[in-house]
Amino acid sequence: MYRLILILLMPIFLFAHIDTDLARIESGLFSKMIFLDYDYKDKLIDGKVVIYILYDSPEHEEIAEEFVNFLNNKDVLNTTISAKKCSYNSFKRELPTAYITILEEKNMKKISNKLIYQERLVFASDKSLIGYAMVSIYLGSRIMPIINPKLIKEGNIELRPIIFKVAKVYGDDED
Amino acid sequence: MMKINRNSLHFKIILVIVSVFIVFIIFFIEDLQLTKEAMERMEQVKVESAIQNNIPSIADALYFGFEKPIEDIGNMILAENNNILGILIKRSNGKSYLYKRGRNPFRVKEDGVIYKTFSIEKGVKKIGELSVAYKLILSKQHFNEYRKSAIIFALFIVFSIIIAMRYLYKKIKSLNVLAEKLRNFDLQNIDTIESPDNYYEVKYITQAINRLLERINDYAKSLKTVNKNLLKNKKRLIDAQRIAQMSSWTYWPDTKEIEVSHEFYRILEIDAKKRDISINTIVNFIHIDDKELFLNSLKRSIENGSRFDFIHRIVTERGKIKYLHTEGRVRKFKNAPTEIMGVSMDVTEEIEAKQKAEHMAFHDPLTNLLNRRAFLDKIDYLTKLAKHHEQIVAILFLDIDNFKFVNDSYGHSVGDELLIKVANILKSSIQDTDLIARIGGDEFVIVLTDIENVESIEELAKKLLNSITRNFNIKHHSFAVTASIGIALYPDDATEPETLLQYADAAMFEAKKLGKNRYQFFNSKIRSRLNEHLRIVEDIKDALRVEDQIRLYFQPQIELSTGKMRGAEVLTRWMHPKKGLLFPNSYIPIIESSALMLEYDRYVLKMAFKQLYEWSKEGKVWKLGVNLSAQQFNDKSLIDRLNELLKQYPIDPSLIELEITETLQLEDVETSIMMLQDIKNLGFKISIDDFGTGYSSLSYLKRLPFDVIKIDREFIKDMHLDSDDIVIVKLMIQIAKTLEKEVVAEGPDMEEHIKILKELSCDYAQGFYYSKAIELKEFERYAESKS
Repeated sequence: MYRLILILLMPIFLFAHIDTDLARIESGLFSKMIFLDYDYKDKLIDGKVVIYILYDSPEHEEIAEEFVNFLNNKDVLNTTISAKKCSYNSFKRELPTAYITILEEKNMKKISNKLIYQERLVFASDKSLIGYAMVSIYLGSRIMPIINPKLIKEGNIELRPIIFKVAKVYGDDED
Repeated sequence: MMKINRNSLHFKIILVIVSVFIVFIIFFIEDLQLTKEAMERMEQVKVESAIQNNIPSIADALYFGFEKPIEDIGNMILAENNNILGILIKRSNGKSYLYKRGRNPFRVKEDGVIYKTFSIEKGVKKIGELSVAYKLILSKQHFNEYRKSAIIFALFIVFSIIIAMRYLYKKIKSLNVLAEKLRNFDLQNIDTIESPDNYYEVKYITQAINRLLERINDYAKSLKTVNKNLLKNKKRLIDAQRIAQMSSWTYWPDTKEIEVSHEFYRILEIDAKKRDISINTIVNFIHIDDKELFLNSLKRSIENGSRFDFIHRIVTERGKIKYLHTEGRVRKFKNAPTEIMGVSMDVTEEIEAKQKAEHMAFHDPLTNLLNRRAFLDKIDYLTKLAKHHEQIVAILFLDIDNFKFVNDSYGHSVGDELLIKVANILKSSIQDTDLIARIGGDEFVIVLTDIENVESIEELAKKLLNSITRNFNIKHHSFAVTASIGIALYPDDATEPETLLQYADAAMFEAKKLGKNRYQFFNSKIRSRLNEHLRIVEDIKDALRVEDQIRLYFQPQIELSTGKMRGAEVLTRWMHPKKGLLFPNSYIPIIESSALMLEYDRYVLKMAFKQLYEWSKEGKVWKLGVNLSAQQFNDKSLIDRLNELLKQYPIDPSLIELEITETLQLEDVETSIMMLQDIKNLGFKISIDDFGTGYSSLSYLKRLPFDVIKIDREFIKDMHLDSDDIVIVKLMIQIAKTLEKEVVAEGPDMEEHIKILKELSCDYAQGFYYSKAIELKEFERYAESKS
């Protein structure tokens, strides 16, 4: 019995651990990509990069918390990052510098257009949701950003050309 | 500046270096070119890579309508690539973006600017194109730097090559120096050479050369020795040729060339310095009668490739005729001209000596007439010729009467002169077709061939006798000479030459018997006597082969003072198997005339030894006197013979008294003295027999090594009647006593003789008074009675 419980708890333990690592990677990547935006300076709030981390469930909130931990008060290019978790349900109209979404697909679908038209970079923590976000992370043989130029264009955002060299472009070859 | 030889090591090394250098330069230039191209390509690739690397980003930016990234990328490319003059991005919809450095390079195309257009595609869809204009700046800069370094490196290489060439030249020059030393090498003074450089190869070569020079030096020394020996041998050869009077020559018929030795000139008596010699010159020197022989012999030898050997005459430059013995051989070669090698020896002296010897062999040296041997050859030929032509041949045997008297009275030189004169008389008295020879002391033989009749022979015989019979004045001696001639005829008397001569001799002997100074034809009476004589000779020969026919008889010698027997003289008697006892006067003259004297003497001597040996065994010691004839005394084997007899019959040699006549030793005094001394040395006694009949001087007698004088019976027999004989005998005895010799008087046959001899103090007597010669047994009895 004990064993059975242990076997059942193992995936939970493992997933939790995985989410933390992913959050750490994505935190590092996403925070730097914000600076590829030609207009990122116009989007600073009080001179800080303010990132809203949207979540829609307690599990996602934990992950969001992880993000916050990793990002908050971190300096990139002499600019301090300020990370804040925001519940999907309590989405505010306040404009941050960028969004990181940790949402279910259905929620992502609903909120996607709103976020895009705010002309702020929208990062999806889950790669499968790249169709609703501008940037996500591709975990394959190597870890690289994956961008959705269409939504980027729709968000009236132009990223520095380096992104085209390092990122996988969504839509060229769908997974 | 040394002239460079194409085959020299120096030239070849330079050639190799220059070739390598040229290859290096070509490679260097090619390398520069390739490097330049490579750099340009690299720069092009770099530029184009920079463009191409950004095309996907541009494509994405174009595709998604981002303009700022396009501008960023364009500016970034321009910023990163100084050589890019401009970038023109054209969208498919016609919109274009130009990014340039300075003026627009796409408006007017410029030289030195590279224009390249890249297609911008998204997926398979072309969404635009990018043109780039750029200049090759970096490659040019890099190439210039590279070229600068390369040129410096090349210059360094060239400099190194020049240094290496100079070094090599210096090193190779040392080889030339070495070669020059060798070229100027003094063979007369071979010494080692010093190495012109210190590097290994030259030192090694120098060592090898020095080793070679040492060997050359050794070889030169041995060559010098060989050369010296050769010169010595050549001189010896010249000397040998000179001594042998032999010249050598070689003739090449094809070219008519001839080489002759120095001796050849000397033989021909021509000056080698003044005259060139050719085959024609030599032929001209050959005696005209021998030219054909010479030329034919040579021609035959050349044809057959054989040897040649002949004697020919030459007439020398001074006109002297010489005999040359020329021999040699012809050598034919496959790849060389035929060669005749010959030697010509001056054999003039030999030929002349041979001719002289031949002449002497067949001629009497005194009279220059034919001798006995030549006469017999000729007479043999003449008798055969006469037989063929059925002719008569007469042999005239001429002997000078009393020639011995002339010789004894006036000496041999007078006798020889007489013989020459007689020979000349005979030569002038006969015809050319007749033959004349001297076959003995005073014996001449004339052979008449062209005989008409016997009368003509008689006429010639008379003529000869008349010519000879006259007074001769020779060396202040005047004396009358006559001759006796015996004549035998072929074929009437005999057909054999020896027989004819014997018959003529017998006829001459008959003429002498008939009173001399006459001629006598051989006849039947003479033949009978001659045959009788020959039979006796044969009997004597038989008798000398046995020991019981010619027997020893002994005439005792008595000591006058005591009457005892001293010994005996050995005489002989011949007990002929048919005729009975014969006395010496019946066979001794025959023995003397038939050349049996020596054999007879040996027989008697041997028998005397034998008898003494027999007596010695019986203890009888009696002396025996044995006569030595002139032949035996002059026989060179006499001493050996005496020694042999002493070995065969070991007796006391002093018991033998060898009796020689006074005249015997007078002929050759010195030889006689030596012979007598040898006989004395053997222990024999010597007595002078018939003393008083010769002409011995006291000084001569004093030198003669003898023991006994035997006074000739001529002085004894009339001693009792002629007081002069007593005086002579007395003188002889006194001489003997003076010379401390014993004296034996021969022939006393009466009491008066003995009495006188005793008064004259003669030692011994041998005569009929005491005993005649008696046979062995009787003598032994007599001797024992007188002991």
